[in-house]
Amino acid sequence: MGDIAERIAAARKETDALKERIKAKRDALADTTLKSVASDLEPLPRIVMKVRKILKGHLAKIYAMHWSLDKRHLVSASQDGKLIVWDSYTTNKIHAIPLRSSWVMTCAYAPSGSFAACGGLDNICTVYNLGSNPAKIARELSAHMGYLSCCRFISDRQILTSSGDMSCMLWDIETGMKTLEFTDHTGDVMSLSLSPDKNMFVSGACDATAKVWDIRTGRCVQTFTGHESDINAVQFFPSGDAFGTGSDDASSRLFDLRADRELNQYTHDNILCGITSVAFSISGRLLFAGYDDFNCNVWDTLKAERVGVLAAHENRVSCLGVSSDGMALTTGSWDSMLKVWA
Amino acid sequence: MLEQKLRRLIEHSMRLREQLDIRRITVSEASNSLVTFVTSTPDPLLPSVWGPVDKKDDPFAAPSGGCGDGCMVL
Repeated sequence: MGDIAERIAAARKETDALKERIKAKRDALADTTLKSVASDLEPLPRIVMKVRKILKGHLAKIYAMHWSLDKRHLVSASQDGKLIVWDSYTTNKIHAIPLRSSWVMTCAYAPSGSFAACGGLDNICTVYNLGSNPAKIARELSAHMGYLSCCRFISDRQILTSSGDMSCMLWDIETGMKTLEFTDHTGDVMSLSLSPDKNMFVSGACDATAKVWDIRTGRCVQTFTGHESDINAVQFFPSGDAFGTGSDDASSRLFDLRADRELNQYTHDNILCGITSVAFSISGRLLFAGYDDFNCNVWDTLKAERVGVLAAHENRVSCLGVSSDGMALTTGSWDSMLKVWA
Repeated sequence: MLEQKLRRLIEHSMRLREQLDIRRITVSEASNSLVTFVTSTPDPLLPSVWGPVDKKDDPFAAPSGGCGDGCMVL
């Protein structure tokens, strides 16, 4: 017994020493800051975006939304127990899919546009085939021991999920089986984002860390610390070299994969509430963040200055996303509405 | 229980060792790379930088006036 206690103490000393050495390596490369490098850029004028479309139809809080790659359609999930596929140009509902479980927390659109998926407190990721009307269940992916917090299609055949059971999983939709498990987080995993080249993904969790994973090997290749509370949202920067986060600690941050560190923080003394969702504009210059205080703040990613506020919801902004052509931002809220801004 | 804890610490150590040796670039290199990407990618949500979006290219543009766009009254 004493022997194990000694070995535990020794292992702890070793991990602490390794963390110090990693920090030293990172600090040695901190020859400037992103803010300094960006100081030469023209400051942005106040961003003025207007609501162009309002998507009305859900009867309860909206928890998630995801654009289709076709830049026109999007899917939203609400605790009214419906998954709705919208045509954002006309505001028409293409599908209104009744869910087996109304406790939905996430939804996703497949890159091909042929499938949508969702899940939540049922611990299951349900994949729907949108080819028929009404849409039919194609697969139910069941293996997580906790709630499904996020899901993202890699293709029509593969999907990634994150869960309150502290793991992420890669699935083969055709066989319905789990292909790989990604375990390293020590808290509920709240969000994931696929890299533009689809070889990696980043996850954010209640252990206040964000982890980058190699999809082929299942290994965690990098861990980013800095946040002081749960990370609720992660999103890759459009170049794939960095990612943004949103946390209950009232800050959003930018982490760079190649520098292996945090490069910017988006926060303000009078912002005290948590961030639920983040998204970048197509160039990455703008970072949109949805907050518990019903607003969406627009940040200059490089200069870390707030350049706009989108105040148009009557309850928490729970989700948001920028279309693949960068034309529009959609915000979804607990007030049951989705708004398309441009 | 304690053995599990020890095992987890040893695994954690192994992962930290792997992380120690990854190739890192300087903050200036990473920052310059991000700035280059941002300033070379046209962005419809930044009309002050890239010019206003042409009405004919904007799927969310309000109709130009009256019903001159060919809409029908059903």
